[in-house]
Amino acid sequence: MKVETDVLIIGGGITGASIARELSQYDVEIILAEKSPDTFTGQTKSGHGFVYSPTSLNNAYSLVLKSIMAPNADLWEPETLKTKLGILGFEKFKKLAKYLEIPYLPMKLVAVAKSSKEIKGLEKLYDITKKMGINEDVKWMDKEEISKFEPSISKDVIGGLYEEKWSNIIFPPDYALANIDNAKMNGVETWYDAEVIDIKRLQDGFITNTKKGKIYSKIIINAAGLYADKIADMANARDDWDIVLYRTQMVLLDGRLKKMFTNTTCVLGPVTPGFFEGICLQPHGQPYIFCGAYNSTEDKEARETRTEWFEESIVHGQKLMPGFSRDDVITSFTGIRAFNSRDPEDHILEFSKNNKNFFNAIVRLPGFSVSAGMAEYVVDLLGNNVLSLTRKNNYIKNRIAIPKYSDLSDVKKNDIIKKNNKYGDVICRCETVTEAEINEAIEKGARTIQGVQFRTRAGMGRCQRNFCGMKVVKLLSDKLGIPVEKITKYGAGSQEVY
Amino acid sequence: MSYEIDVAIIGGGPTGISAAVKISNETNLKVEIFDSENDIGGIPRSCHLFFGMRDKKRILTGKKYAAKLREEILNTKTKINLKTTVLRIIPDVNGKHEIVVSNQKGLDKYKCKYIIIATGCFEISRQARLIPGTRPSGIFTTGALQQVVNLNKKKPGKNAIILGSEIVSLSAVITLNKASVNIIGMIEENELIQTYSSFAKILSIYYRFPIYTNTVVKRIIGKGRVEGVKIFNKNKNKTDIIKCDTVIVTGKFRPDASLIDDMHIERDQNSLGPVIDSSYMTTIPNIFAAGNVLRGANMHDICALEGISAAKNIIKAEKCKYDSKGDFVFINVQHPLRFIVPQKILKNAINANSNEIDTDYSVQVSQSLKKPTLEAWVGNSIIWSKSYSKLIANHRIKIPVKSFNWDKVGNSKEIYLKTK
Repeated sequence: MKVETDVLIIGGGITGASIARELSQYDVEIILAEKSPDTFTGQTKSGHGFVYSPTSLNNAYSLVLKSIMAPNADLWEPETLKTKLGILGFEKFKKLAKYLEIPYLPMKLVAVAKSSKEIKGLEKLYDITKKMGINEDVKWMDKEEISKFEPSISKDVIGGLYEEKWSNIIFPPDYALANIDNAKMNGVETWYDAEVIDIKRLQDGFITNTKKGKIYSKIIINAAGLYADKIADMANARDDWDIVLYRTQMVLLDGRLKKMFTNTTCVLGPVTPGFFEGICLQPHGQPYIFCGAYNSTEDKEARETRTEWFEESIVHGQKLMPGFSRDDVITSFTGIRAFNSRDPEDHILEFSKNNKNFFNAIVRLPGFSVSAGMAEYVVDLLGNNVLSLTRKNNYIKNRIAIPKYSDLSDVKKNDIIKKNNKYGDVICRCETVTEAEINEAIEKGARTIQGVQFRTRAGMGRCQRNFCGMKVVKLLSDKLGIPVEKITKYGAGSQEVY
Repeated sequence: MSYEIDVAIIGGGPTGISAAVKISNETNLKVEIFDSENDIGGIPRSCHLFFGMRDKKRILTGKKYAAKLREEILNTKTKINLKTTVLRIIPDVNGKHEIVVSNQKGLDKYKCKYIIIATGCFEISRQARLIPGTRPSGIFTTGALQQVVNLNKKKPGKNAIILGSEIVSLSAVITLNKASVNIIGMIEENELIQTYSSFAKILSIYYRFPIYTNTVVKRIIGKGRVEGVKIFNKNKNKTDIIKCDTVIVTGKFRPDASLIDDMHIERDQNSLGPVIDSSYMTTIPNIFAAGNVLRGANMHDICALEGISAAKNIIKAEKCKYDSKGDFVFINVQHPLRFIVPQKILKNAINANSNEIDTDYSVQVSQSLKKPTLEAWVGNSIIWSKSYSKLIANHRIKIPVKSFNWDKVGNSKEIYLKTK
């Protein structure tokens, strides 16, 4: 038995979720198929969480970083699709953050220098911000000013650039899940555990065979991230691009160290083509270090952490903010970033040459930054080419997030417990996550330990599930009505207990 | 709602209960215990033998020990607040401290004259040990393992490797065996076993698993679930892959002291717990700390005795105000000594009457040592020394501060403890 729909979106990460939400404003039937049980497994879960405008100090930094790949190119390119969609994405994010209740921190960024050579590097950054037209928002700080402004920055720093207007930081799952929730509220059907097995092309559409069954759709949007090449091949819709992979390890520190960040939320080290280093504060009080080169790999699942990358992160992080020790590392993971080989500098957002109903949405980093703008652009293209789009009357703009107990004032904490007494039961002490939040996460679709983690942060604190691990497993089992043995960390093959 | 009590005890394990029983039995102070769990007793509830030796003079299972504690506390006037989590401590609000707690009734505030922080400790996770590799399911601390097996009657997996050889690692052996899990091996990065090696060897023979010493884990392998570990034997300079589906990371305890993170209270960088003096008082007047929150794991019965000592000092403080002003001498430690607890000593206490200090000062070493000598120095003078045939890692080593040559200390503020 097969199911019919207008648009099938393959991939439930930030890209697929954004497109689903944007498209759900229109009278179109949409199914989103995601291979994981309830969230996402690819780039989205291990991103840095930066949402920045192309016109930003942060972007100036990454332009210099990438200049290793194209040393003679013009770094600032205002006319590319990447730039235009990035500007739109950054502006739109602020509105979305309000309607969809997405927590974020403004990125109060200091890029520092410890030598006159590094100061020259900052001068280069400043020049780029001039070309971007935002240099008035960028402030030079000398040694004394930095020391007063952010005392926990290394005393070896002799100068820096500060900017706080053009970047934000999110906890990646918050943004992706907000999009999915809103899409679902507006009629998007989400299929999880629905890995695509094959795609059959018809004259006016496709039959996609997934692990959950077959879907007939007029249009396919390929938002499969790391596996976009594999999906495109299934439909003979890959036009001269490969997916090229780089990976980078992130090291997360004990939340106790959020106090290192008083007036800043991100400190970037000296800008070197090909090597980046920074220490940053994510929402929910999570400090982390991101550092290293983009290490290439051929393996889409090459997510292992490495000793040398640990050491690199700790050493470079301490060079920026010396106030932590290796004892303060609570966890670490490796993220993979996909680029397209045809134009690694840009996104591929186009219909396949071979099939006008197959749309490839190959978004490169910064994926969160561009996503809201990208989604608008994609929907425009769909509307102008293959779909007739009429706006829904009953589109629901606002999405209410699961209330975060730990963020509430004492009075509001008391109120919410009176409404639902399970808000009084703290299950994850490290992150102060209550039973009510975990229940709501399960109601909203969490079926795995990772699903609960991403929606509530239970298990993401310093003890890393030492105390609450089995409690969350039991809550999942009770609420889903399945035995504890069937609860997994993140899907088939990751059973927790026997 | 707001309440007013005399003594708030945060944590209802052996430390907290023992303190509460003492204060309740010997005074009319209003004592309340606050614990997040749905039952009193703490970690012993999920453990097995050998409990109760030093404080109850019996050998009990963890469950029975916890039951005994429960019986004792229920026989006193202490109020027990279960499923209640202390969110923060606000010191000295209008002369009394305040704690903010979350429970099903609402967000409640308790004004209290004395607080004992007895929140225990935990083993750090695999990730915090910087063990590289993939991040599959099937990796548990001993604490998590015991919750799975003893509290929930489930198995963690089928074939397990144990990382570490501290005394708690032997508990992991017993727990795995109870769950009929096959023990493939125990892996220890140091040359020596980090607990009583005879115990370890007996268990390895009885349960038929090898102990690999001088062996490090190079990486964990496995996509969804653990499939194996890659190890490197430093002696043989050889790499190997051991197949398993479960990894138990043991030991490397850390105080569960998040309540002190946002307080203006002194924290010891070595023990990672609060700095205390010989009365178990922290650097905030009338806020005490005892048990494993001070430094990570000592045995439960030692914790219970610490709870009782802290209680004694509260009882004393009620009778005559505790004078924590005056000269403190700080005791600093060097590697391989991990920490000393308490970290400081009131000179007055030593000078006036040696019996004032019946507190145990103790250290732990980070690795087992053969024939070490411990020395205490002030400047260039040695004020105490003792030789040992062996010191076991991660076990309490008592330091008899009463026996230091205090005449040589003079006006110095620092004593240095080191090994030779």
